[in-house]
Amino acid sequence: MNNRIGEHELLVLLTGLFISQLLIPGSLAPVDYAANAAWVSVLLSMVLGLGFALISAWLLRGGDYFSACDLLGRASGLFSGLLGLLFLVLTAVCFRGLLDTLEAYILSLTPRALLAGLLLLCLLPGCFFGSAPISRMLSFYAPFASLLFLAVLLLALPHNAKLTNLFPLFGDGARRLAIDGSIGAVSYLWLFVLLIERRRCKRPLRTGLLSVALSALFLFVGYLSYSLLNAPGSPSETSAPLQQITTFSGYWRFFQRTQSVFVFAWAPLLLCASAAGLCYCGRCLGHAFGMEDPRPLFLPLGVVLLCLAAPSTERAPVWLRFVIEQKAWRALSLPPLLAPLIAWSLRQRKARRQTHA
Amino acid sequence: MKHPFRPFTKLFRYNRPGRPLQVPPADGPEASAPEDSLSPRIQDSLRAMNAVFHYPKNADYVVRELLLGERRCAVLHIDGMTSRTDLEDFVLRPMQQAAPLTAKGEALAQELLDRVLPTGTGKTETDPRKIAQFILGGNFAVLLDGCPEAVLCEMQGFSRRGVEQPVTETVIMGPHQAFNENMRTNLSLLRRILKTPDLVDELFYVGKKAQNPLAICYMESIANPALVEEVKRRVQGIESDVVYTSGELAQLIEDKTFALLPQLLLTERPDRAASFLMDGMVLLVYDNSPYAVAAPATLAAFLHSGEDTSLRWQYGLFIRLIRTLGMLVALFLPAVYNALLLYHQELLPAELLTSLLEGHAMVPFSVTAELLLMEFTFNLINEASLRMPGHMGSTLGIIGALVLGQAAVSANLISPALIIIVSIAGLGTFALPNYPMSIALRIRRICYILASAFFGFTGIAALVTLFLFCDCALESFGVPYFAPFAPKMPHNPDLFLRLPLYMQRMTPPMFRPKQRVRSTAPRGWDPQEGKLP
Repeated sequence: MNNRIGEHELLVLLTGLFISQLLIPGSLAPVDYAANAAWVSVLLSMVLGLGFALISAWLLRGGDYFSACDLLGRASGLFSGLLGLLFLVLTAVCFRGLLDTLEAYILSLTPRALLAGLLLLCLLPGCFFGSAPISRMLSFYAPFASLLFLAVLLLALPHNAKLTNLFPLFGDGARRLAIDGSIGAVSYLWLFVLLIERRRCKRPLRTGLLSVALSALFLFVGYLSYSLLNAPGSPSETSAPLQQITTFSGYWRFFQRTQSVFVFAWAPLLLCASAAGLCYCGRCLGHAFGMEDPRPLFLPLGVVLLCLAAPSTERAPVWLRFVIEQKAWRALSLPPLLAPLIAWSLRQRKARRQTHA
Repeated sequence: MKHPFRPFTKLFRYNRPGRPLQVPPADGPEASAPEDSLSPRIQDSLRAMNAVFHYPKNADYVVRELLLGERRCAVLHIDGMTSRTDLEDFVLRPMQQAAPLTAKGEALAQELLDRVLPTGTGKTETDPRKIAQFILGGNFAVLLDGCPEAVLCEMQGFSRRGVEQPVTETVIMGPHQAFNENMRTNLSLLRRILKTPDLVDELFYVGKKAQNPLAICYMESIANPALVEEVKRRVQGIESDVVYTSGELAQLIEDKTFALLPQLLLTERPDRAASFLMDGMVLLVYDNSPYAVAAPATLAAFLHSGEDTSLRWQYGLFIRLIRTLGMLVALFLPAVYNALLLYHQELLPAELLTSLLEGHAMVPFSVTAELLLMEFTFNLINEASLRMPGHMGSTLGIIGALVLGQAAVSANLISPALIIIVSIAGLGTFALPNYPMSIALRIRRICYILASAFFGFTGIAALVTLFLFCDCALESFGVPYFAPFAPKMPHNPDLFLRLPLYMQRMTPPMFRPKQRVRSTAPRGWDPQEGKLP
């Protein structure tokens, strides 16, 4: 298992993770409510993400998430375990998004469980090899995916973009945008990866900020293009810019036919994100259970992921719907968010005592 | 009681079992263990050497006894491996005609070297096994009565292939010489390119039973000492009885044996080998093999050809882009074609789709079956033409490509478009300058065809992800396989793109060389000066 991840790799991994979370047709996509003004809420979520990156990097200076957990004594395992569960849920949502998209657009006749099982087989080696190969794969793949994205924009925009589609600039009001922005900011929960890898990275703050900015730029351009292409009030689907642009009808005919090509852009990205999520979930749970090598956990975790991802949303049991909804994420994200804060306050108290002594 | 069916069993026993082979004891009663060192008495020394060579059973081991003055001597060599005329002219005759040696003990050997033997190289040795190893290299040893040391001199006289043109790495512009099976010749070819004392070649012997020489070459001022040590550690750890070729050697020292992609680069071109050395890589030149092994290897090196730097950068860039594109086409074209016809027909213009489906309508197989059949036939023709002697190989290629293809289309076994697809993919494979890599691509191509048959583009994308996970986890001697792309490292503009030579100022940092900067000003002349009127 190779976790020697460099600064550039971490940057690419984080950017990929943020983008993947907003790329899939899930409850995170700001286009749900904000429609044509989604690009504004993307910017707002970026600000929140930057804030999260800044605060967490400041709180954990000189250490990483696990060392902060270790300061909490007996509760150490609990905090890292809860972070592991959060990663599992985020991974499940990401993987479900991939399956939903495939089911909806490309492989509608293939049994979902079979597809889930086969895709799981593809991503499990990534978990076993560690986070470094996953990020290398993303670094290698990023230029190709970016080229495809650029091709989408270049082919779609010049023929169909209308500047008037952008107005009204704030859509249905600032409140809606603020809500969507805060929802979008949930995707930056992946910043916990940065907190785990903090020690390996020479400039963690710079990496965190840059990754948030890069992903926001990518999404901003995507949603802006979406807004330029669609008149306000047109029916919108719950999917993100790349997929949305390639599937939405009403512009260049050639483009309508070519949407399946873009499976090469988003499927590897989502598989990478799922593999990374499962990898970090295993590492957190490994820390919670005191295991040095978390690899034995990946197979059972894969089975759990399969159980979470295989049922379609319509047929999903109530508990699964609860798990994959935002409420569950928010609840799960609270303790890991608190951990650096508690560790910081403990460290402060310790320092104060020492100065008194 | 006699067995009632015995006559019948005798009748039908067509293969009468003979006496089973007896497993010989590890050390038979007659076998005498060779001694550890020679003795001052020549009879004892000869006995020790004979024991090592299993004399007199060993027919080509020659012991020529003679007198040097009053002193008994013996010249030991392997018949056919030393030059007989040279041995007679420069060893036996001078020894028979020389004045008696005056020194005593160990000094005798040195006096023989100083005064009698007119050979360029000479050393002394006491260990019979090392002496035997030296003799087996095509050299000779002289034993002297009263001296506990043998005199060893080089006089190789076995037949060897000359320096010929490369077979697998041919170029149009650039040197036209290749390594051959002789390690010394190969090292001399390297030294002719890199005329610097900085080039170090350390000699090792590989194999437990039959030891063959191996030279580990590196640039002392460039190569990372840790890398050199790691290569030596792996080479010294080889426990195989015999290593026949450098291909086997590479398999014995590579990182992951189950990975599909080659992790060490084999080259038959001295100019490429020299450029690897200048990049800080370590080169293994093995006797009996016309390929040198370069370590560590990264993906980009497998896509480069020896010609790239000989050509101006614009041409080199163009050729390299074509080659990279060829690799992608070779890898994905058949699978994409399969996926297009089976799952994503909406991507094709109506006219093209109609034409393709019409061509396929009369064929009784599915597109996937057709593709697999064609892949099998293509690989079969390729393999057969390689094994066929001389011109017959090319004839077979023509027969395979033209006659068989035409006949298969006429018989409605294969659609015409598919022949084009498989041919282009095949051409892409051959555009790759590295043979092991092209085989790896052929294997992956079949995997992609199968994936596209089941899941279309999704299958290809998923398999690409899986393979990239595996490839990105690969490391060759600690260097990531996709370096300097993933992980990102500073590098010369000489990977997938090839830009002007003056921009290539660094020694590739991924090998962590001692010398980081190759040259600060490759074109160190001022273009403004010296202008003609």
